[in-house]
Amino acid sequence: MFPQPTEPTVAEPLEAVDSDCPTCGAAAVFAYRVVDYRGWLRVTKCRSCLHVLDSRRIRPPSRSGVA
Amino acid sequence: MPLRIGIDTGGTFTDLVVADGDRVHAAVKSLTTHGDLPRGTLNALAKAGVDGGEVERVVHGTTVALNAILTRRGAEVGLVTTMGYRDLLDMGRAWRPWEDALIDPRWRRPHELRPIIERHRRRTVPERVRADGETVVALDEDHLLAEVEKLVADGCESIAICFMHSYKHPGHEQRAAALVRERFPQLSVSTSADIAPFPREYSRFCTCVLNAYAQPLMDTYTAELEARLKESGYTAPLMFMTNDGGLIAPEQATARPVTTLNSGPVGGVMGAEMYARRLGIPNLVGFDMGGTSTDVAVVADGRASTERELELEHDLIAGIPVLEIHSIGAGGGSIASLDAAGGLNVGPESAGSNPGPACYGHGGTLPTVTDAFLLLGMLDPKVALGGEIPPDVDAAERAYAALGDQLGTTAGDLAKAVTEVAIHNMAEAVRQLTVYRGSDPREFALLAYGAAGPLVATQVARTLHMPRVVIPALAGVFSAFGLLGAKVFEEEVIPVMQTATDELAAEVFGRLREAGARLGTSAGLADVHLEFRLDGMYAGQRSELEALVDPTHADPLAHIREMFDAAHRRQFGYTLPADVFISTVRVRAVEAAAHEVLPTELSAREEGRPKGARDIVIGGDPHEAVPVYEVAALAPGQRIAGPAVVEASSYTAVIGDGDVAEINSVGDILVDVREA
Amino acid sequence: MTVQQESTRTTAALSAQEVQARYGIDLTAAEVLRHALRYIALQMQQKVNAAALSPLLSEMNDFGIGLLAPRDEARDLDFDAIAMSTGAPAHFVINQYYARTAIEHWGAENFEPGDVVIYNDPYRGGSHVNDIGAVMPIFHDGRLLGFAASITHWLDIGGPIPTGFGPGLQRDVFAEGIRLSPRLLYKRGELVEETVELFTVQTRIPEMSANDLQVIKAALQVGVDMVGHYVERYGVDAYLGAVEYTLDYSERAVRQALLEIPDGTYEAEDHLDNDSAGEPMLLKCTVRKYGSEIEIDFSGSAREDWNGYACQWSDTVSAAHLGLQAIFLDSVPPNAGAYRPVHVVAPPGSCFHALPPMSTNSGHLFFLVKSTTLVKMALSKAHPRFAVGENYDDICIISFSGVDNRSATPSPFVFIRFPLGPFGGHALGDGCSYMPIEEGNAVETSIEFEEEAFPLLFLEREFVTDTAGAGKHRGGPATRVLLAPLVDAESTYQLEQCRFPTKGEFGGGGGSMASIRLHEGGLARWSRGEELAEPQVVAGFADPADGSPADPDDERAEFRISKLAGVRFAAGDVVAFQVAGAGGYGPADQRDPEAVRRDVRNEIVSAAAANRLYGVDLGGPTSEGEA
Repeated sequence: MFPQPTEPTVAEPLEAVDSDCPTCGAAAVFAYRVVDYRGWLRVTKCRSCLHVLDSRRIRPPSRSGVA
Repeated sequence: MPLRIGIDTGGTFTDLVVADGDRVHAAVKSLTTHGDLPRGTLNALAKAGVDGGEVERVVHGTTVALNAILTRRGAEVGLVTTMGYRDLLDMGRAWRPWEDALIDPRWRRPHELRPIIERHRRRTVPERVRADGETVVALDEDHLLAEVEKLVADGCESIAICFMHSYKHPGHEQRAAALVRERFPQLSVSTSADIAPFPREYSRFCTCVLNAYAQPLMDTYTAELEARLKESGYTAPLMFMTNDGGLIAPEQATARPVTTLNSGPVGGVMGAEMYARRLGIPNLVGFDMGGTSTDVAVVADGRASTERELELEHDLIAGIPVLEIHSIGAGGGSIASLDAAGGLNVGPESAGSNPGPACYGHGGTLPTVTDAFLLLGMLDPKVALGGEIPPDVDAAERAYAALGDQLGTTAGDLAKAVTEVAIHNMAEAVRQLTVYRGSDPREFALLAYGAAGPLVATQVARTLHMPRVVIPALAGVFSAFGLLGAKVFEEEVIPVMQTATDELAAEVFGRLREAGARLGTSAGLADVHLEFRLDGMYAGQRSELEALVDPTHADPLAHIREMFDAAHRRQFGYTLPADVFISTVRVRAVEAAAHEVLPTELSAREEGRPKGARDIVIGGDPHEAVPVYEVAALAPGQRIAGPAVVEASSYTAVIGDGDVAEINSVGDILVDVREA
Repeated sequence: MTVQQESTRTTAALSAQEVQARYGIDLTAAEVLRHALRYIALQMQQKVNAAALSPLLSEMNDFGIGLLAPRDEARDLDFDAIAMSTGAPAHFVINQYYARTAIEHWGAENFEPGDVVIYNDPYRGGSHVNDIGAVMPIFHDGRLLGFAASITHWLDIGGPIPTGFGPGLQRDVFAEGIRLSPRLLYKRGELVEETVELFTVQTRIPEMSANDLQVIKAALQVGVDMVGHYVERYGVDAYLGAVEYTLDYSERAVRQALLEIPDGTYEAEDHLDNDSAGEPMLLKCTVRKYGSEIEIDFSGSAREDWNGYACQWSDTVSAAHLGLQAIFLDSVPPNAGAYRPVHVVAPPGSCFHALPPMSTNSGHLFFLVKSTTLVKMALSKAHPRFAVGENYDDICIISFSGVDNRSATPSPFVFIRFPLGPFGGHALGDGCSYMPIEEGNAVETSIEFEEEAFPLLFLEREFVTDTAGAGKHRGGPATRVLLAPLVDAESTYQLEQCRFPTKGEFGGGGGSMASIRLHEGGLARWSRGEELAEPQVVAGFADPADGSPADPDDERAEFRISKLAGVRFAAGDVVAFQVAGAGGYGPADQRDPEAVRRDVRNEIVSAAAANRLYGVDLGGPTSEGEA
């Protein structure tokens, strides 16, 4: 079970990544979670040109109603 | 013997078949003369060389009403309807078309884009009846007449009167119609309970509106046609073919033009039933490949399947029983194209007849299925298409080369691919009515007709593992031929709308017997037999299925269950343990006289030799110097092993590798199809 | 049939040689199989339509069904959706999560021919407990070649609320209905009675459930058999090559379509009328599009709330895809390939990503459409040719339940209906007046049939004048339904846009707000042909003193929440349920005056509004309209 968030709105936490995007050069690279066509990923991605530097399959944050 | 004539006025050709007793006397094709349809009909009659005085009946299949609706050239029509229900026509049944517009937020329904009755001509009146017949609001007669007055002032010449629950409780509609006819005798008036006495308000109202829309035009057409026929010495009764294979007099066709909407293609289905009987092949798939579409119908156990509605455009429907014809936008004129992602599509866009396929030489540059047939050698490049148009092979080649370049493939290879895709699309249409109903196509023969049906028949059959193909002698004018098999009938509909119990079943059967006795005498037919139908569904389902019943049966409920279960199993492949809900029951008085017609006997006594040969690609494989036969030169019983081409004046048939064709005494070609 | 005589536009077509090289099959076979896979899914759908007893399945098409690829790492296939039926588009994408999670949970190696595994846990990549998922393995010579998969909305799934929709009454997931982890419905072709009994014992629709569970198996079997037929005919490798080809085809189509949208970052904002406490919920979406990649981010949206005010992330993702597909000018056959270019950010704990133990049954309806709408709104800003005005933006419900005691044998009834509404104007023309939101595509039930079966009267279902959002191309008008229960009844209703109007695009105006109003005892007056008395507001802005309709800008006005269950109405009451009008496109003063005249003639727009909004003077207000 998870507690209800206390803030009125919720945003996906972005972990700032030090390097610039190798494709477009923008300083807009972050690590965060997305859903692609097969499920959840933790990506390191440029938010300017959408280039994916790294991608790892992860379990959905809300795994199962039992835990 | 007195002659009977079947006339099918199609989009391009008017086909005419004359029967002398039970034998075909003549069969001709003439160009349809749009803008003056009777002239084309008279041309065809003249071409057939028939003396009007010898004719006892003329049976006519026409798309006049259908075309009027599709081209929006019907009457100025107004709607009078129950208060609160003004906008049904613009609401339709809410859904979007599956194929093209499933999640299209920009879609608009056909009636919004091309209205038949705009909102200002849809008027509501105070009246309301409940399902149980109780009147909630009495019909406000003054209000009604005031609304019709406005419609007339606005230019309306035809009125549709559509009230809720009217199919069960027609009183208000009947009263309204009587008042309107009395006050405005010049108006055409259609009431929904009269035109389509079935439940489901949208379906019934739409049918009634279509009827009102087509009525004045049908009136003009039938009057004109009767007059011109009479002038030319044809005084025999003119009858119109209905959507469910019946015949009606001109007055009835005028009063109910919606019953004739599909009368053209229905002729073909009647023909299929005739062939099922004569050849002793109770299970047939009727396969009519034309210019823009391929129509498929199923005859199972000798009877064509029926459907509850005819769809003209999305949600533009006639909700009356029709012979079931499944139509797909794949025909000779279908255009082959590549979509944005490189997918190869064949149709539904069509080159129509203007400019038509590239090989027509009328300016068409896009590759069509007919062009592919020509490039593959299935059509003879030296023979005029449809007897009228010399084929331009270079134009077909150019069209295919242009598209082929985009795929890095030759014109010839692309023509093969397009043909293959088209054949699979058509096979899918056949599956719709067989495999997906739990029927095994291996138990069916494919009866192929129409301009292009015989060309692809053996390939379609092989794709579906169907063991036999039948190409009827008059394949090119088959609908006109089939019209001759139609019978006159009168039908009465009784609404029920209850779940069957022992008591209800007994009561309903009693009413059916009484109605049958009445109809049998009043129908004005010399010799009738009665047919009784039940339109029902398993409790919880939402669409009706028709089942034949015998109201003299000793155990009504058990009989209903048995017959309905059998009908459901035939149509869908299974039964349910649920109660049967009865929507309506119907009694039909059908003229008993048989109308079997055989084509003319072949005259050759010795086996015919090929008249020539050409290279053909069949099923993707090239064949050199395939023998070409002329049907008329073949002897009864002659067998031809494929690959071969058999040509007649109105069609070309391709027999594949390993297939064996046998010609019977009247020129029908029966093919044993090699397993795939 | 129109004739196109211009040459075909440039395509991303693969050459015949490339197809052969990449997929090991020739172009013809590839195309034939690509079409065939679509047909198979369609036939599976028709099997359900024909045989199911539940009207949600037979008529409303509230289900999805189709085929999943096998797992084949070399071919980059992992039980991906190859073809999904045209049942209800809300169900297209979700099997990428719902079915695949169930397969993983069961273990792909544990399936046997003839097995059917069913499941309905929303928190396993699902939507809500009512949606029953099922998979049936496809085997060929002992090799697993994928699955037939379905997701079907069950009319009732047990729990305290008939039909399962109880906004405000179901605090958390444990108050919803039976929740099944993956288990066998059929074992090697034999029906597993204990599983069926879960439905016959726990739900209010035992016979319907027993039948429809078997129908699902029959429909899945159609898929299994048809794939078997093609594998026999063409061979396993050709089938697999065709599957890859089919997925890549849709991926190419989507990437082509994405390239046509200008690169950029686009934002949209919308609201849900109220949360559990009655406060509006802010909904935000930021779409980032670059090249043929796209990211849809719902960060900044309201947190999840109890009592059904949240939805599953898998729902949000599915709906986001729908929004994108809706914006495209051409449709793309839905399969996993089409989904490859899309990333969705669904922040856990937001209303778009419920965390246990939140209830998501009602939220499935509340937020599905909002997700789609936000994506459409955002991308509408990319270029006018893509813009569409906001539609009625809801899966709304009105239900009545009670006992019909008018005859000798009283019988309980549950009536539920999903009112529909208009779509927004766009570059090509006015919005459609009446059709379902993109999530569904129901054939509407006949009112005559409903009145046979239920003790109520549909007094009216018509368009309302002056509700369409103005614009060069206006939105469609609102539809108002008047319903009169003939016996006392308990009602559940859900309706959106009662608090905020819908939005237009590129200068188009918003549509009218939705509302639910009650005319107590109104049937008597209606039957006598009299005007209905001033109503009470049930959902929307009300004067707190007497409950009469109030102006939203009036400070005193109170907002009565638009989602509630267990509300009582009396026999003879008249409930007026009016959806929102749709937003317009383009400035109103650019509308063709002839179109305005036609709108006035047809009473979609009043003469006064024609003057005020469109600047078209038709000589003063008339009540009838000119011919």
